[in-house]
Amino acid sequence: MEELLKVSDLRAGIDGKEILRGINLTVRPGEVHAIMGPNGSGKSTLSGVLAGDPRFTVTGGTASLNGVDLLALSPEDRSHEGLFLSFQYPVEIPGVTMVNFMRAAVNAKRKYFNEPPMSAADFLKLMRQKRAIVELDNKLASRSVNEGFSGGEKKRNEIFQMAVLEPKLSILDETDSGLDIDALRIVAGGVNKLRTDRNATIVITHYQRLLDYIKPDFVHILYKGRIVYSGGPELALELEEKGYDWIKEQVDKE
Amino acid sequence: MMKPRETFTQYTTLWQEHAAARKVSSFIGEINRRGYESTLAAAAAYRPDPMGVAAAAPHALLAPDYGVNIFGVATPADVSAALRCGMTTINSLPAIFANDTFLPSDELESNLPAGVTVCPLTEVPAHLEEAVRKALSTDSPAAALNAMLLTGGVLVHIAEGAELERPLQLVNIASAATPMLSARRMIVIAEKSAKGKLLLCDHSMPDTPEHLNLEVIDVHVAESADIELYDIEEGTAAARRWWHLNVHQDSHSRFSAATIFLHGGVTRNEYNIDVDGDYAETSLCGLAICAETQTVDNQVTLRHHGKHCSSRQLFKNALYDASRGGFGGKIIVEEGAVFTDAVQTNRNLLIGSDARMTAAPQLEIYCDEVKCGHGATTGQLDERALFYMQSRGIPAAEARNMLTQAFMADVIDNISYEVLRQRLHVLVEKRLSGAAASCDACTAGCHTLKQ
Amino acid sequence: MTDEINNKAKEDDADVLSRATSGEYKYGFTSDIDTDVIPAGLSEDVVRLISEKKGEPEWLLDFRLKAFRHWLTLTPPEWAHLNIPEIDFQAISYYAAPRKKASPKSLDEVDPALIDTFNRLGIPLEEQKALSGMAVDAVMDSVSVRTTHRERLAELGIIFCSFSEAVREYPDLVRKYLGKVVSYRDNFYAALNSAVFSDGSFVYIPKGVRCPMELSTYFRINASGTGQFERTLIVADDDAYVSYLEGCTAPMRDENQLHAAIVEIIVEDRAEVKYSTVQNWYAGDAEGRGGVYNFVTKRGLCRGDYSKLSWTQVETGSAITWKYPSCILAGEGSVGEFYSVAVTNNRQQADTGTKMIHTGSNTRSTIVSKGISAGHSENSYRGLVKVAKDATGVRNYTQCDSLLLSDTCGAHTFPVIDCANATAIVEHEATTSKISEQQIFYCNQRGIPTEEAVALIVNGYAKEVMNKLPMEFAVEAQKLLAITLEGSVG
Repeated sequence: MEELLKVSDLRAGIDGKEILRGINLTVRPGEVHAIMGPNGSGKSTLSGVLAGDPRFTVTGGTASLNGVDLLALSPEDRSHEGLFLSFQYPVEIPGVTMVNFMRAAVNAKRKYFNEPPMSAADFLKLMRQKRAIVELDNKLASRSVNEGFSGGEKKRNEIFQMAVLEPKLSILDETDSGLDIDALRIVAGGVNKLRTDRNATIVITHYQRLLDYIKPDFVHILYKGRIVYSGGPELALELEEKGYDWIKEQVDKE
Repeated sequence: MMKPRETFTQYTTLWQEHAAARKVSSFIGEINRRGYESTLAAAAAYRPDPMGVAAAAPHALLAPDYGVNIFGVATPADVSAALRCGMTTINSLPAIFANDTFLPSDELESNLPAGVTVCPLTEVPAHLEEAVRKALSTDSPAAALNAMLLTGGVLVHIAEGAELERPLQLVNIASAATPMLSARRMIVIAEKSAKGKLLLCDHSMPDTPEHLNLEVIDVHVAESADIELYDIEEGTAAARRWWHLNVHQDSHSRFSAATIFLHGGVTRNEYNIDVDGDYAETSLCGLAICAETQTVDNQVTLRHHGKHCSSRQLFKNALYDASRGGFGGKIIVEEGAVFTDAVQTNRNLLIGSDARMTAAPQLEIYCDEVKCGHGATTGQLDERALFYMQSRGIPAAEARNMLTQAFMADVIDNISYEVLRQRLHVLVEKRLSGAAASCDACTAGCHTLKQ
Repeated sequence: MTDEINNKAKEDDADVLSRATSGEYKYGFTSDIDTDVIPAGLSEDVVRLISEKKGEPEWLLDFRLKAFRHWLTLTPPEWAHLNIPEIDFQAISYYAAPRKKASPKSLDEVDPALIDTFNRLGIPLEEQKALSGMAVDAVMDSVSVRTTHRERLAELGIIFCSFSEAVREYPDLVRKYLGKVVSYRDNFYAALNSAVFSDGSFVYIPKGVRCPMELSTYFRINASGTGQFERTLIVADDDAYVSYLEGCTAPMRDENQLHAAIVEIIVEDRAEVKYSTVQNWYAGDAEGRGGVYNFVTKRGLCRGDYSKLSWTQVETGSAITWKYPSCILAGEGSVGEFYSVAVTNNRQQADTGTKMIHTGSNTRSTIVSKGISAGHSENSYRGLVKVAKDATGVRNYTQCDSLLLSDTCGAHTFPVIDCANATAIVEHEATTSKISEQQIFYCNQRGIPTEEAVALIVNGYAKEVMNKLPMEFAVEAQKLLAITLEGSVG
């Protein structure tokens, strides 16, 4: 089967400190991968590096999406090519309304593919449709991006944006953090509705909880900047039961 | 190199030489004479920028050798060009100031609401002369020099309880073949419970060489009166402007002013506000988008004398290229001005690698029962917000523009006149995206802003 | 009804105020010490005389003369928010020294009255009684009297001695650094000090040495009709660390006394200097008679990369204070800090603050200023944060708070922020507040008397700065705050 995301020996760090020490990962269309690991193992660094977060410096390796070299692209072009990152901490942008923000995003993507801007009527229709997926309140649309949103609203807003942009690969970075059970169900429900056999999802999480709602095909354990263990969904259950210590012991021994 | 004081005295000398030959009314002549005495005093007391940080100091603005309209000859100006200004679409009552001359029109006269008088200072009705004398200030260097040199000017008088609802729009045009100093004066008297909106637009004709607009506005807001003043500057790079706003507020009055700099050369805006009465409200806003070597220096002195008054100041600058921004904000709370609530905010985006911002927010408090605060920041756009927007596919340059616009938004949102507010949002967006700043026919010739 | 209560409250306040202002300045005694005072007046001859009395080398006399000639061309600065009565510089004596050997070899050579003076100030000079963990250089009028703990410091290569001694013993070091941070051309009072400075302290911390104890200079003006013009020079070489304290008192006198000092600090690579001041010069009486004019130029140069200079000051004394301890942050990644509490009461005037000059990249500075005004006093913060064009990645945060304790005092803030680099982030915030009646009432209800409540609240307000002081100093400073503000509830 074709490869959607291919990451080989990816190394990256921040302020001269190496965090990712050679990541290898392949994701094919239709798959859901879960990346788990203890705090500080490099999970958020991996998602940031793939999305082009300027705080991180890539020191080696490659990453491609549909054969396109991701690392050579600006963050916006990675987005156009179909990469979506649901932020662990969605950024508040005072003064920029959600409507203006999303219109700019949608039309930038259309421009990238040499399509004309979307008409105002079509755009509003699109927003309405997609909002329904995560039961996002209409009122939030006229507010500034994420400003004054509750934790749950922020995460639903992320999935709403994912619905609008229709990415090929979505990375959900700790999307479950700070969510109560109802919000978690809505968010996960939204993600599942958006799944097709042509797109793929990487779920980054610390806990098994989210994986009850978004069923992974593969589970990887990240520790000290490397994927040290890969397996099926049962691995997540094992982790839930035994914690991370046995992995740490095993790896640290080697 | 001229000494700072001499930049003033060059004009007093010139004035004195020609005073006898000036053909002005006795009323104007009296104002000129007062202005002359005050300018001498102002020159003697002038202390040029002791900290050496002024973005646009008066003596620097005055230093070039400008011609002055010493004989009060009306200068011709292309009126139709001035009215191409996009602002005339906002349902205003337009009038023209050509260099230093106010041009009255029958049309304006017939559209003014009852109780509102707008006339040249040369034709002030006898019963208002005393009020004009009282309102016309000469106690600052700008006002003194302006009073000495003024030949015309305009009076806006709103009688007790009257309302000027459609804004009076004064389009100031600088148009000359040689470097000129134009002294413009506007006197606004709002009697008890009167209301009014005023909009000033500064333009310069494209071929006009370096010129200095010395604009002084005296406003008296009587008890329970309410005045809004908006100022939009879209001059050419050859424009120099020394703008001085002098306001007195009585009890329960409201005054708000906003200055918007979209394009120009070097601008110094002085706000001198005395809140004399109790329970008065004051709002001052400024917004400047500067590129190339443009300079905008906003200097505020707000004096609280009365009790239970509140004031808000919000000044924002986006500085591109090698532009310069200045902000001086002094809040003075006099002894006895209890329950004053004064807040002053200055925020600056430093974008150009050669840009520079100087801020001096000052508090002088002589009364303990007050709430006073100020904040000043100079920095860049939020990097996290920028990355977030990029990750959603918005190109970096566009994301920056959106964030810059968002940065400016609250200044514009302070403007209560809705048509103007919406128009300004569009103008700022156009300015930031590098389109012609104001309107399709604008002559300002703006350039794409470098990121 | 409300008026009645207010009037009653005002009467109470007036009462409390009068009690407080009659409170005695604890250090207001004079000592009867035989003093060598040269006649009043300032001329080139006087400068030569001072230099001669101190047996100085030619180059130092030259320095003084240059400064003096430059001073003649200057006029006193007028830009501060201060009302300074005209000072007759010819009416001041520029040299006063206890008439004994300038540098006593042992304590036996020190005038017992002098030792007694410092004992009364809580500064024992006898080595066996000397404050542990703190070495003290005691300066009386123009001359350093004695420095404690010298031998222990010498073992580490640390030089801590009077300025005069440094000129004799380490002329090369002094010559290398003198006037390098504060030029004699800097300002009127710096020029004056450079011409007539009498003594002061000299500190040199060698490479890699962490000074194991606090170094301290205690200044005491005693003689009447004299000025005090001391000079402090601190050099922290690479990787060195020192914490330096400065305290001062003066007798109560009806006339004003001039104190015009200079402090120069040089901080090399990765070195750190903490400079703490508790300024308690005589402030004058309740009507504003007498008191010290404290016109001081303090500046440090963070020349080394990743060096750090931290100023902490608690200013409670002096009739007029004019001082701006500053940092020039030239070294890459260097750090400047300024923590200040300035209290003014009665007719005191203070115009104080700092300058943070960022010329190096990735330099950081923090300014926290807490002004407390009471009575008829005037209290101003004045500051400059400057970011040079080539200094990238600069950060500054400034917080200026004013607390007003009466309706007749003034509290002012005059900062200037000048930023010429587009990668800098500079933030300034200022607030003004008073102690609310609710706060006082709350304390009263819990049984705390008003005066104590004020002290409590003020100390809480100033805590952020007080916490930066070394322990011994913090306790003293807290007491000072309470004493200065006794009964100033408004």
